Amino acid sequence: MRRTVVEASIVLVISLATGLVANSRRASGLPLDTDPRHLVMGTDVELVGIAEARRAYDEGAVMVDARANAVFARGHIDGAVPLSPENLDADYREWWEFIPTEGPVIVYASSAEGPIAAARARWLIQMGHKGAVVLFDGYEAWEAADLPTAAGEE
Amino acid sequence: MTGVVIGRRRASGLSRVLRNPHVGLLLRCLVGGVFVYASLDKIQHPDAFAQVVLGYRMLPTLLVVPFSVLLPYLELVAGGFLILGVLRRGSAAVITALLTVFLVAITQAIARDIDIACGCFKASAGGERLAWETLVRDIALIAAAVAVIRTPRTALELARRSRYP
Repeated sequence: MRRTVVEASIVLVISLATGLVANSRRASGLPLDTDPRHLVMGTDVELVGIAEARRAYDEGAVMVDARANAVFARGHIDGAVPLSPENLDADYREWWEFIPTEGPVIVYASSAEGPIAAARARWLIQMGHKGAVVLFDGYEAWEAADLPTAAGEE
Repeated sequence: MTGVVIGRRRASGLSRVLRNPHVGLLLRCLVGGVFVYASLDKIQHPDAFAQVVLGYRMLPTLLVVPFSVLLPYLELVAGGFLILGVLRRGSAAVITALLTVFLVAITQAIARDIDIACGCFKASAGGERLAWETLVRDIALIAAAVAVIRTPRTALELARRSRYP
């Protein structure tokens, strides 16, 4: 038994050493401090969890819905501004004054559409809304946490 | 009484088969081969595998990438050693421990109704989905790995210690 534990420890050390060296030398290697959520999002835009988003919402942060119009109409975060993929320019022209350039802006989509929300946040940052971040968990988590929602087009 | 005797006979019969050095070699190659094969795609695509690991929602976010980067090398080295017969018991013990961790991860994901890719053989999210069959395969591999640990010797071990019984 003791010999098995010693052998297992040797295997463990050899594997970890091999992994660390190979990862640092390979082109496809990943820095170990990479935030895996950024890999999911496909961008390094800042991400917030549901608790942080709720706190910011209570303090007046603007929520931006990056989902399609029809999905938005079925249910969205109460007070959210729609920036739908199909009418992005028109929506932005209609709502841009409500989106602060300095203050917090939280962009969300469905939980499966994280990269869409991240792309929209990056677009908003390019348009000058520097405080744009992404709700990583998506609308479903907001709904599941029983936080304020509304239905309808606006 | 008769049932107990038959049970013992059956157990000793199975035990004899498992102690056969050639059966040991077969189990070593089977388990080791599965692990080496499972490691290759993950080593090629650590970023995709990290996303699969994140999907299990088991590890703190900070640990997801270190785990995703190092686990495939653990699979590769332990599996390779097992096939070659180097540190046979230690490699099989590491593999048993990994399979037990996988068992817990898969069970909790199925119990929480999380629909994600298994990440077993393909690093991408488009790979095999988690299912009860994944659990059955995991348990079968645990049984084979434990048999490799318990058997006194197996055939064609590259580095067998003479002090082993």
